[in-house]
Amino acid sequence: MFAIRNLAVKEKNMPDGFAAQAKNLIETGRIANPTASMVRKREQIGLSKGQSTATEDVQKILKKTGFSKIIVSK
Amino acid sequence: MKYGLYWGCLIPAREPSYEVSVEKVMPALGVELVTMEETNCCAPFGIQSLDYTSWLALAARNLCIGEEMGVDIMTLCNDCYESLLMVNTMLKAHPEIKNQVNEILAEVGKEYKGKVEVKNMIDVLYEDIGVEKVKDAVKKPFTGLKVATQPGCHLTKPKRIHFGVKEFDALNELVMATGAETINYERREMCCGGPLRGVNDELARDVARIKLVNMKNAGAECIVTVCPFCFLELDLGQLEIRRHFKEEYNIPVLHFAELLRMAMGMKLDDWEIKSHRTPLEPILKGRLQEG
Repeated sequence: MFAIRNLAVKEKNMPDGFAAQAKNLIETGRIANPTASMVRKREQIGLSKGQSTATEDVQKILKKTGFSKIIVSK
Repeated sequence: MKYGLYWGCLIPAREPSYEVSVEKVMPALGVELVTMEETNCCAPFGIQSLDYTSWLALAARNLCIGEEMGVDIMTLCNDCYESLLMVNTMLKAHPEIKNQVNEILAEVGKEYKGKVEVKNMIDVLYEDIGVEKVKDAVKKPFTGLKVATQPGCHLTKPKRIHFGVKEFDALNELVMATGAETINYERREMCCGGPLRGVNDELARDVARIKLVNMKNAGAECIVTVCPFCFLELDLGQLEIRRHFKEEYNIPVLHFAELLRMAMGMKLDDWEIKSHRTPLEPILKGRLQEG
């Protein structure tokens, strides 16, 4: 099933919601990140701004697997 | 008892009350949690659908961090649990896939060795701590509260990885340890609808509505989730359903960690109470002070 979906994606067929998640993943290493207001809230309540994320590593991995190329060309 | 804590993306981004509750409850039960630093997204089911190899490599990178720390991994989100558990199981069983993934990971100086285990918080509470110890920690039981539990899809599926459905019953047993009653409702095993967000929002809303109707019909006074996606769908989702269908459910939704925290005599702060979109007031009586 995943093989068929992966083929569909290579043909540029994917739900917009998944494409948006993929874009976030490539740019930040996460599919969801705290908004500016959540960052402020987290600081007010004594939590860290967010998680430390190895964004550069994610970008290297996704370049190696060809993921970035598939998504960027959507 | 020490675990590497994998927060995932959604909890720090949207649900800090879950985060705070875990940090209060688990150490009080003797679990040392060490946050896994410099992680990445677990690459949940959506990413599997886009590119399977990327999913394997991204999840494996997180597993490597647990190995480097010398601890097993505890997850809080069902999607993170499924992703990390499935990849860990696959890489241990299939050396050829492990080698392929390690070739990719070499780009970032990592190597997956297969020396780490992945658990969900429910596994840790049920198997490592035990229901009796949880029960002993309860100071303010939720006596008589009728709870509909929503285990979510990936706490128990796929069964070939999870070796049965123990977590399904484990959640109910843990809820009962807080003094609450668990109720049976139709299609408890059904998805909350959350994974359909961004693909078909109307269908996601309709699926959540079916769950809420069934819970309400069974007499639910509170919904308890373990997954941040289920939480959003059933809590925030009640507002959307009210707007669209003109139907009122008003069933408060709690993460299990929040329920346990209050049962252990710790109060939720005002900002945490307000962070729930469906008001919690009906279940907060006598719980606005510590002890």
